[in-house]
Amino acid sequence: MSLLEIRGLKKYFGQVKAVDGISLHVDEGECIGLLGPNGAGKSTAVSMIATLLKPDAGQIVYRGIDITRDSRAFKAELGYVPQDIALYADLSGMDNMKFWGRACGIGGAELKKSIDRIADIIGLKDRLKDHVKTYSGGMKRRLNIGVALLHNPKLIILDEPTVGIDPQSRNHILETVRDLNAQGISIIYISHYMEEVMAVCRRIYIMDYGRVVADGTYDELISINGSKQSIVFGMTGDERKIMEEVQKIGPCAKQNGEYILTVACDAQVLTLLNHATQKLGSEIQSYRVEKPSLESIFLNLTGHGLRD
Amino acid sequence: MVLLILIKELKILIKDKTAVMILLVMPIILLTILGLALQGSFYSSEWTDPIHIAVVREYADHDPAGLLREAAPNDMAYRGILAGLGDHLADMDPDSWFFDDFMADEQVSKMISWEIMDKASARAALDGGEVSSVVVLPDNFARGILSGLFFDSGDTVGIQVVSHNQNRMSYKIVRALMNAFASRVSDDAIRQKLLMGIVQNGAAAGDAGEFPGSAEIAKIGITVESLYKRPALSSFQYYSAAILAMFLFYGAGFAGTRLLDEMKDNTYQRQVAARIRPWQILAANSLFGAVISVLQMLIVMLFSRLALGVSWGNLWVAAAGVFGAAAAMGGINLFLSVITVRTENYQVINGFRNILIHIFALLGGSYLPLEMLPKILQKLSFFTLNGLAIKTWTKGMQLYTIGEILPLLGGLLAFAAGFAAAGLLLYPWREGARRV
Repeated sequence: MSLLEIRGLKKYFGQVKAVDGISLHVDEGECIGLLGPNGAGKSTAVSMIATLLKPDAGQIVYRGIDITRDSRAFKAELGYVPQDIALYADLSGMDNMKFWGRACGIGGAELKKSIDRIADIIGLKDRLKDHVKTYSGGMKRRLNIGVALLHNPKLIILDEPTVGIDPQSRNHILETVRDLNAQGISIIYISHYMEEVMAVCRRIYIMDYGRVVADGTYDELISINGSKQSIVFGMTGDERKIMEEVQKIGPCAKQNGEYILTVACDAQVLTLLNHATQKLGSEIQSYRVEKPSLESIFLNLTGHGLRD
Repeated sequence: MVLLILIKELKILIKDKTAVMILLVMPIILLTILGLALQGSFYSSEWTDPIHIAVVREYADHDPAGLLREAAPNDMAYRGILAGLGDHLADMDPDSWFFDDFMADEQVSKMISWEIMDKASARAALDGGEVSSVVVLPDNFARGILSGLFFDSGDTVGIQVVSHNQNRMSYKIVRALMNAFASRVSDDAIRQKLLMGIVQNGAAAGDAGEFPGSAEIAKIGITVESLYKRPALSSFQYYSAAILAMFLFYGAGFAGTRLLDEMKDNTYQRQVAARIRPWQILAANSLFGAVISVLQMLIVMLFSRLALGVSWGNLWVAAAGVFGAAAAMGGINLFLSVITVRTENYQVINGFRNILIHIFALLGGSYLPLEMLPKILQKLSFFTLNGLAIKTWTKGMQLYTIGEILPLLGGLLAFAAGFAAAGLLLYPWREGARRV
């Protein structure tokens, strides 16, 4: 039996289908990734799992109990790390730890011991007495995670935990997530950075427009693409016209100044691309073929890029 | 959990220097400035309406001629004069002189309006603020004046001017008018007696030297006393209560803002995702508003007592006012918090802080003593929380008892219950903790 099972979850805001019937599961000790661009419905789905929003339809079952009806046992085992830094900036790191620990139901000697342990994990032992507002972005992020771990949760939801921080802090956080998962804690990791999801998650759910468009392990997802590969090229000229023309060949997205075309790689593609170039009166500046990645899979499935 | 959130909020408040300045220091500064500025001239400003007073007639209806005949000494000369006055005796009516001539005088009417009441009604009207003073005409009013006019009877007429506060402008004006009436009657008496003396001298030559001097002729005394012995309020006393009551609103606004800050910072959502329930956050926020108001009240009361020597009078009444005001602030805070949760923007709180507080401050008497405002505004003050709080505390300063301020306390608690109920009704219970 799965630790957490979500069936046909829906949440509409007027005409907007924020979450449109997603189903997923998390096994005990498993780390799953929820990957998708901004607006895909990841945070809304997570808000429902964290009991912040009531679903319009569907079930969220934790250890056999539907948490939309009774969430008490679930909350005792949930560690929720919101996308934004949800801390009290005017209080010290220690005061924040104490407050969130007590809010999660622990106190006294147990809380003190837990604070010592978590401070070690997040590397903030020496700064706990300082006001949070004096912390760097990375330190805040780490504390943001730390306060969710104080009560030894069995399931942790990390909603974009590395947004806006330096590479060093990002690595520290990813390392922490891997360590927690290695201790047997189940994790739902939400991100639109595929490299992070690939680095920490065993299974991945790809979301777009409120729906799960694909799921599986990395290898399973790669196999969805079959023999398709990504042709990455640079081209001069009007972007809209280029996209219009190239999308006649296959799904295309623009990322970091380059166009990514996901197609079966054969000689005909190059000919078609040359035709398009001539028609537009532009020239190809660079050209390379890449192996399938989550990015290209996403592009192939949705017709647009992860960061569009 | 409610206590946990409350303690956390207090820690944040203490570290927020701007909030501490606005909520706890500003009231002290303002009440000191206003108290000093308006000291001495506190109740001497112009009146916007005529002073309304009650007149109590303690004497029975009478026949002036009969009274005069009864009062006249058994002296042939006096009887001769009375007989000589004939039908004019009917015009010798002090009641008519007072009400129809003096009180109806154009100049007097500009200053005061009046109505006749029995003693009990007048006392109730004075307590209720419907009249600012009561004039009591004693049972010997008509007989005493008539005998003073015509004869040297020695019958003193004591007119009482009753007010709660001897420093009030209304009291001073009414007292001056009663003195003017007494002077007029005295002047008439002198003229009358001089005339009578001449007649009498003519009637009985050689007795002129026995006629009393003009200073002794009129024995119409004006007695002034404070019927309920309420001490006068100083400007420091009034503004300690008035500014405190106004700043309580800022406390409520601050707590509402804090809740919105929590929503924007996602700490509200995070609390709900932990083991804290939305109602516990709201309860803690409401309690936070009440605790802020208690802190404000204690600080202002202590400061005004120790630094300015302000007496809060009946401390039980002061404490009841603290309790009632704190409860009302808790209720208002709950209401504002729910509106904040629903709208998820600062407009409501800002509107409350920038507009409504000042309207309430004006209507409730926080800026100017109510007596300086038009009657309609004075009545509206009963529908403002700060107005009720000010009345409670100032009555405590004037040594009213708990029993006498119960209606005001009831009003404060009604505010608390009304706002809390409205808040609970409006809370989006079905929509969860976050409205995305």
